[in-house]
Amino acid sequence: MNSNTSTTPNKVLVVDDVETNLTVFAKVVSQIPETEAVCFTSAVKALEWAGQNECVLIIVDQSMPELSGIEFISQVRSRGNSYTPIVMITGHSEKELQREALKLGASAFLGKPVDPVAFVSLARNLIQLRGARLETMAKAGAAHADQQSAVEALFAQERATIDSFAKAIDLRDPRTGDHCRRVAMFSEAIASKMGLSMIEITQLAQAARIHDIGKLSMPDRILNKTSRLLGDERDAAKKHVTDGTAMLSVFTTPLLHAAAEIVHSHHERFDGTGYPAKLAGPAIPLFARIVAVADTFSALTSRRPWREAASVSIAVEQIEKESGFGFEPKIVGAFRDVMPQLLDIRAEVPDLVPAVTR
Amino acid sequence: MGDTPILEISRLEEIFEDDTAGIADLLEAAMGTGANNQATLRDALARHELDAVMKAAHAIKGSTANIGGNEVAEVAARIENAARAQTWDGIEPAAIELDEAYERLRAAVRAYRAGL
Repeated sequence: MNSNTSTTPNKVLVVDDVETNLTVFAKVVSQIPETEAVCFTSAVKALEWAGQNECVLIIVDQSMPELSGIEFISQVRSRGNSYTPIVMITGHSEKELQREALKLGASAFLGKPVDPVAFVSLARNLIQLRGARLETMAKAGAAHADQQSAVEALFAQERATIDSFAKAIDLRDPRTGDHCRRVAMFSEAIASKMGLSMIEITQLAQAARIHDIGKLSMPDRILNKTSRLLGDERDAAKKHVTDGTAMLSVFTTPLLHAAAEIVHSHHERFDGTGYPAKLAGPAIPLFARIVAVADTFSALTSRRPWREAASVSIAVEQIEKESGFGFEPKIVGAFRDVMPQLLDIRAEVPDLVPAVTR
Repeated sequence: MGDTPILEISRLEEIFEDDTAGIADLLEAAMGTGANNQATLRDALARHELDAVMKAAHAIKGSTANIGGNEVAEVAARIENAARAQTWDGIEPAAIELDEAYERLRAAVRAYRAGL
C-alpha cells in the first residue's frame, strides 16, 4: 500500500509491512486534525520518501522484513532529520529494544493493538512539540542571521574606513603610502609564519595599512625634508604616533581599535627604550611588535633623499642585532624565515623614490 | 478456546466510527493476510525452524491484534514466546489451537459482514 502524497500539509508517515495495520493506522491518523497518513509497507521506500518530503510524525513498526524499526529510525536520524518525532510500534515487554530505539532517536512507543485514544493524544502532543521545536530553531536561525549580517556590515564599514584613511595617506605622500602597503604585507607574512589565526592575520594586514596615519598632520617642512632630521624636527616627527592615535581615538570597533594600538606603539622597543610610552616586552601590543620589525625593514631598504637604501643583507643584519633589544626575538625569527616572501613583496611594491643626487 | 473474545469489533468501531463497510473490508483483507501467515507458520513448523516459527507467529499476532482478533493474537503470542525461548514445548498444540481460532475468527468476520 502506498497512499497518495498530495496536498494536505501535515503528513504522518506510517511504515508497517502488514497492509491491514496500515489501514488501521491511516484511519486513526485521520482523527488528528489537519493530517493525513502516507503509508508504506516497504521500509526502504518509506526511507526514500522521508528523505524527500516533510512529515510531522513517523510511525514505524519494529518487525519488518527489509529493515527493522530500529534500523529505520537510525537511518532517518543519520540523514540529518533530528526533529521529526518517531513512534515505534513494539511490544510493551521489549524494554531492551525500547532502550536501544531511544538511543537511536525514537520519541515514544506504542504497543499493538493500538489504542486509538492514546495514539491520537500522543501523536498530537508530539506534533505540537515538533512545531515548537522548529519555531525555536527558526527564531534562533533568524537571530543568528541578523547577527551575522550586522557583523558583516560592521566589517565592511571598518574596511571602508581603513581604505579611506589609506587613500588619504597616499594623497598626502605617495612614498608613505607605498611604505604603509609594504609594511602591511610584510606584517601579514610574519604573522602567518608565527601561526596567528586567520582572523588576527587579516586584521593585522588591514590595520597596518594606516600605521603611519599620523603623518597626515606632519608639517611639510618635516615630511618633505630632503636631509636628515635634526633635534626638534626629530621630536616633531615622533609626534606622528600620538597624532595618529588621536585621529583614531573616536573609533571603538575591533579593527580600528587594533589600528590605533599599532599607530600608537609601533615605535616602542622591546627593551622599553622606545616611544611614546616606553612600553616593554609583552606590554607592547603584539600587532605593534610585528609592525615594528616590518616597518624597520621597509624603512632600511628604502631610499631616503639623504641616503641610499640599505641592502637586504645589511637590513637583516641590523634587525637581527636588535633581536631582544628593539624587537622581540620570536618575531625576528619569523621575519628571517619569511625573507623570500618579503623580497617578493618588495618587488611587488617597489620603492619609487628617485636615486640620491649629490 | 478460552475467555478471550474471538473478534472484539468495538475496537474497530471506535476507530472507524460508523464506517461499517470499511470495517468489513479491513477484516476481509486481514483474513487474506492471515491465510498467508498461517501457511508461512506451517512451513516453518514443517522445517522445524524455531526462528522462522517465531517470526511467523509474530506476524500473525501483529496483524490480528490491531483488528480485534484477540484470541488468534493471544495464541500466536504464546507460540512466539516459546520460540523466542528456544523451546518446542507447547508449540505443536498451540499451532493446532491457532488454526481453530482462525476458523472461528473467519466465521465471526463472515457473520459481521452478513449482519450489515
